[in-house]
Amino acid sequence: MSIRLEDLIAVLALGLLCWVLRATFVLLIPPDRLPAVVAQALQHLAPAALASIIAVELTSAMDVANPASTMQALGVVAVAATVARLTRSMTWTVLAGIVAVLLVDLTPLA
Amino acid sequence: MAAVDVTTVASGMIAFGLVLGITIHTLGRDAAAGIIGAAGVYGGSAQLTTVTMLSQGSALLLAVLSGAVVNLRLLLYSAALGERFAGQPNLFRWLAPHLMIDQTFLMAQGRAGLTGRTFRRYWLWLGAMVLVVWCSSVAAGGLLAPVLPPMPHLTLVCTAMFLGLLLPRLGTRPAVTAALTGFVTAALVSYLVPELGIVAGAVCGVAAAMTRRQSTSTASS
Repeated sequence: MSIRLEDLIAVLALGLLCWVLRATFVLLIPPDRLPAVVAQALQHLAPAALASIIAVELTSAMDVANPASTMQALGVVAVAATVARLTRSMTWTVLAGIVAVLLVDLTPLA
Repeated sequence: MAAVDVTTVASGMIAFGLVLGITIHTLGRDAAAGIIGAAGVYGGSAQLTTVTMLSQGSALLLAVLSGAVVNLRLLLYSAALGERFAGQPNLFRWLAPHLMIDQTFLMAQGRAGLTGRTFRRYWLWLGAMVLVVWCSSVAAGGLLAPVLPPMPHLTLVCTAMFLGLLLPRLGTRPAVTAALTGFVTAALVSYLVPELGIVAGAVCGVAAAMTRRQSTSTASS
């Protein structure tokens, strides 16, 4: 089996760059060198990063040229958000997301 | 403990892994390199960006750099978790950062009490199990791609997982401020420069939360 060289180089180089990003404050810059205000600010990183990921995933699922697909995407996220708010349960939220995706992608709703 | 946390995030990862595997197959890219990348990059959105750009005829260097920009948030995760890697054995400090992704960062943040050897064991088990789930899902996506019907919204299962992780974290005003600012910023920036959306949202969200916290503490003092 032969591997396409361009693809292999790409993932290896990307993996190396990502490792540098991951290891920067573990190996290169000691965490105690971080200013106190930055260390405090990082306590809020989780909600900020999560909301950002959701925003980017949602905007990439929206297609101006395809309003029906956009409405379906918004519908799936709305269902998952409602279930998350009502149940505060990760399992139910993901299950609701799966059911909503199956409904819009594999049934006459699609 | 790690196994419980893996089950929490597995469903979303499986969906996203399937999407990546299917995309690699659909774009006609190399399946073996895709699996190697799943383990070596260990970041779906970055790999997806690079693979998509390569298939659109982009230069190799540009595609790789764009993928790295998508993953710039890892720098923030590294800063947030760096304290818990300090004082660990060298081998762990060199190799274990590779296991840092959205899901492992968030799960570890939720286990703030774990330090030293306990954190090391937790992190290795968590990262390794999530890695197995991730690589299997990408491989399954590639294998199932020819027989699966088109599912353009499959990646939204991953979005549902992130929603499930976000809502319980919105217990304070600074957290709500961080999330709202991050969401709006990321949405706006991703329209202009898609690769920068997440990191821009995260940085602005954190900054807004700090401002909010400082103004609240000033008002109360």
